Amino acid sequence: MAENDVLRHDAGKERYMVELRNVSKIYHTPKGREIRAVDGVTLLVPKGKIFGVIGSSGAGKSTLIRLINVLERPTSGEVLIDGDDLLALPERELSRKRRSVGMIFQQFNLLESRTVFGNVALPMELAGVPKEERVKRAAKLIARVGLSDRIRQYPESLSGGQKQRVAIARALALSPKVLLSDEATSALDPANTEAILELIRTINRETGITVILITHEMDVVKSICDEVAIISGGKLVEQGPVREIFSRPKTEVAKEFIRTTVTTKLPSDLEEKLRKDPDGAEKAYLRIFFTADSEESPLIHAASEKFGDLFDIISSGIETSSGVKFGSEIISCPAGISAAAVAFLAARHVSSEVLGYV
Amino acid sequence: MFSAFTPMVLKLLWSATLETLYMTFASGFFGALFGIPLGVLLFTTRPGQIFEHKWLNHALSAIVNLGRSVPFVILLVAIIPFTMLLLGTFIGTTAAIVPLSVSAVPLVARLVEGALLDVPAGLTEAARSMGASKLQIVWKFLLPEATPSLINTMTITLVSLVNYSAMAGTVGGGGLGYVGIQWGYQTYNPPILIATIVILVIMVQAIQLTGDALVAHFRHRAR
Repeated sequence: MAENDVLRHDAGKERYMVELRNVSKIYHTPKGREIRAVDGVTLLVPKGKIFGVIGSSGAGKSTLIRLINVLERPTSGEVLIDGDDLLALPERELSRKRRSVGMIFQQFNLLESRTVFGNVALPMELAGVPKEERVKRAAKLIARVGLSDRIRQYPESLSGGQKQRVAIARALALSPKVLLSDEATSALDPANTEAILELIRTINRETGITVILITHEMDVVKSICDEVAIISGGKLVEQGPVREIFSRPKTEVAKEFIRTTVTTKLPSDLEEKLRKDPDGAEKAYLRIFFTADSEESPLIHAASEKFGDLFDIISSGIETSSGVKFGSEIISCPAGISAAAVAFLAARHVSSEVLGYV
Repeated sequence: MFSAFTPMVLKLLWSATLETLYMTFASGFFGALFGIPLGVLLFTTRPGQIFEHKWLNHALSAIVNLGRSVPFVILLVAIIPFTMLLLGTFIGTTAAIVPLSVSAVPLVARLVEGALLDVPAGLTEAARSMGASKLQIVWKFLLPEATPSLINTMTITLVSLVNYSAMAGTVGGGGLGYVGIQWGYQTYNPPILIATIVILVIMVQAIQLTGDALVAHFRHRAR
């Protein structure tokens, strides 16, 4: 009975691969000023998930990800990987433990002096894996990321996307439980970004590796993350499944990030004509944001029923992520009913803003 | 003019060339042996580096600066007691290697520090994320990545040593500098003077070209 309890307790604990509990990182400037790069963050990352941490530059996300593998030591708080308390470990054992956390970087950080093979084999060399096994495993990983024909080449001859593939193969060399991605696609063009994200997603599905990626782009979160945490000013402001954040963002920061990815642009000729002042205006232009709870056509339909057939869709951008439909649309309506329309939409969990009047 | 090059003179030039090569490469070897680790220490004890240590860094830096600020001719005589202690004599080609090495160490150390500073900082971070120990960071990351710059360092050092070794004649070190002064200049025999210069120029060229070729071989960086 008691044994069962212990088991159950352990099982509960291990639901999370990474647990940051109330961690803070405080820097002191030479002038003695305090900078709270990370401020009391609790982050629970379930096993096997792709977890995104989004924040604008200077929000503390770079520091946060470095707290996970203790490249930076937190000023206070707890860091657990698969239930192991990393901060309790002496330096030597911590180094050992880091092998279960692979990491990739914005600038790839490959060794120029080593070939693709040499780079991928390096972590195994450090860990004392026998040569024969190293060669076999490196070749397999390089094939996995689609670079078998480049195995003897040096990084100088590779494109950015290829370099990041090598870095991914290298990060997976010791079969880690966690993959940390520090803005891994920020230096890549859109096509390579897409391909690298796709690779990460496939590897996550195939191996069940837990992925934590930090980014400043909501598009990255939208395309591969299961859950997302939003940080701002070193604090975690919102956290949850991506579909939930997209459908019901609670904070202004979250809403702002969502807007960056779904904002439909106003036609430029119209933008020039818009006025802020509703006096004497004929039409109002609104941008509305769709989320999980709101669907496009029934909504317009319902609006038309209430107000009459007065709404025009100017432009529309609707997307799907983790089965959630969302997006934004620009509509026009008679200037006189714009306030009523906003209230009507708000009652249906659709946020909207009046862009201007003509 | 060619009458100046009697078999005796040719033999003299030949052995002087060998002496210069011996002094240059032996002191280059000791310069690297002590200078590279010192340079690594200079770099790794800097703030933010793996062996960050403010005190040690300042102390090493001060010693290196001291070593580099003493003119070689003065160093040559100033460390005679040290050379005596080490070899029991301060005269001769081998004895000249001591001051030459002592002057090479701080030069190598500073150049190595600079070479390591050029290695992207992200690499140390990547190394730590892979679970590399501090010694592994030095051996498997920093030094291999800095290899082309380290070869450059040694090229510069060896060329300087060719130069300095000429002054070693003053403590009976022999070599081309000595022959050039004693036989070419003092006895007014221009062909011998010119011959020593020509040999020195060829030597420096050969060192530089070999160094450049090695750098090109080891550098895998798009330029």
